[in-house]
Amino acid sequence: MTTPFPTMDDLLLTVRDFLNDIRGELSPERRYQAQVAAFLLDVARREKLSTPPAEAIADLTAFRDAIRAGKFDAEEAVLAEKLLMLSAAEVEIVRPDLLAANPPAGVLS
Amino acid sequence: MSDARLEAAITRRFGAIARIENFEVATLGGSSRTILFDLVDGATRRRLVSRQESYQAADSPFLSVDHQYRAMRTAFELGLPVPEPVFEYDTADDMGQGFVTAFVAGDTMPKRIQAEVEKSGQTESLVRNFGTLLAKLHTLPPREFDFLAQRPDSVDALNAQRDRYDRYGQIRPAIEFGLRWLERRRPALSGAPILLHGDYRLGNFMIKDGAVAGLLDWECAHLGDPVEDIGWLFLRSWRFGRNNLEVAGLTHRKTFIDAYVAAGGAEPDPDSILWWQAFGFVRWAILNLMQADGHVRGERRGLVFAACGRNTALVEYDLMMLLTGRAA
Repeated sequence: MTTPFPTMDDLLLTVRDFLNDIRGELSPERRYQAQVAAFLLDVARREKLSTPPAEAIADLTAFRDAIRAGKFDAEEAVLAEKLLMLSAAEVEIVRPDLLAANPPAGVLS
Repeated sequence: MSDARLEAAITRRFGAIARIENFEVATLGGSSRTILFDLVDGATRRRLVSRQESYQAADSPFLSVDHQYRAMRTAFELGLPVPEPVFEYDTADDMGQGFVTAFVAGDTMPKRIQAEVEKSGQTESLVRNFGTLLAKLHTLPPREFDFLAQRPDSVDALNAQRDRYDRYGQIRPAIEFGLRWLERRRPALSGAPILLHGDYRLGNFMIKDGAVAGLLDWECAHLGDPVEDIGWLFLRSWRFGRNNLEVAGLTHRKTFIDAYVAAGGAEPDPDSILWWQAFGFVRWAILNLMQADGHVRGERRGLVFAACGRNTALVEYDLMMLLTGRAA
């Protein structure tokens, strides 16, 4: 199968750029909404290109039941590190700029 | 541009001579409609604000409009800088649920406030103002706010979050972890439940000349532990990019706590602050899920509500940074 032309990423990028271009012509309320719309298109683009992190939890229902039953209590610190990395992977999609400014490195002394 | 029903509501209360001028819609896509207008009554002109709830889910975590209005009126009468409540809409107004308050001039935009007070050298004094004001709020007689005692957040704040979270049908590992972490470390209540604002943060302060001119948005008011409001204020979410400055991205917590204690607030225990910060992140993440849930279920679709769903990840990240000791 050939790659559609233009690609989905290109379509999303084009609409996002259009929204950014017209923002200056809009009322304050619509300008804000156009900014949010462009942001959501960026999220969709990054999500489409992303791959699930290696730490991803396969069975969420089983995870929920286990954590509520206290089965992870003894390994709380290890689980916290894993969940930090999973959260970071989501932030990488939603707001990579925030992750770059505030990476999960180093522990406060 | 005006609003015929608003004009009728004004005429019913202030007489046929009263009229509306300088009508301005101020809402930016939230769940309420906010209108600014001048009430002209003879030779008197007064700027007022109308707020109408455009949506309220049966399981909403927010106060009913009636209770919001009552909490604001009581706080105003007890001397807090709250926009003066003027009247509440009733069924004859056909305006839905809502109320009208006095307009308070100033700025609520966080980044603009941060820049302004830094430029004018008022950063420390504004944060001391936050501390003094919160101590005043926390020392209001709780019996005057008994009508809030049955709110789920007043009865058991943590259980209220879990109940809401379970209703949205999402399984978020970081929220599950946060809820478990909190349950295993519940602090003892530091005294009898007192009035909490519930959303005490930059964005809900009307700032004028480097000081709080009005404390806004009472929809989360309830009774509880005073440290809940303090932990919420310290969340990274309200630092607006200045992550190393714990109080609203303006300065460190000592300035706030010193002013809070000097004004009669009880000295908060650091472990208790940590617990309530973690609670605050869990609560804020669940509130974001709630906004997305309304969008996905079609009850209230919109760009901002869709974005809130994805915002959950940012809050969870801050929670896990806190709980792994990487951030304060």
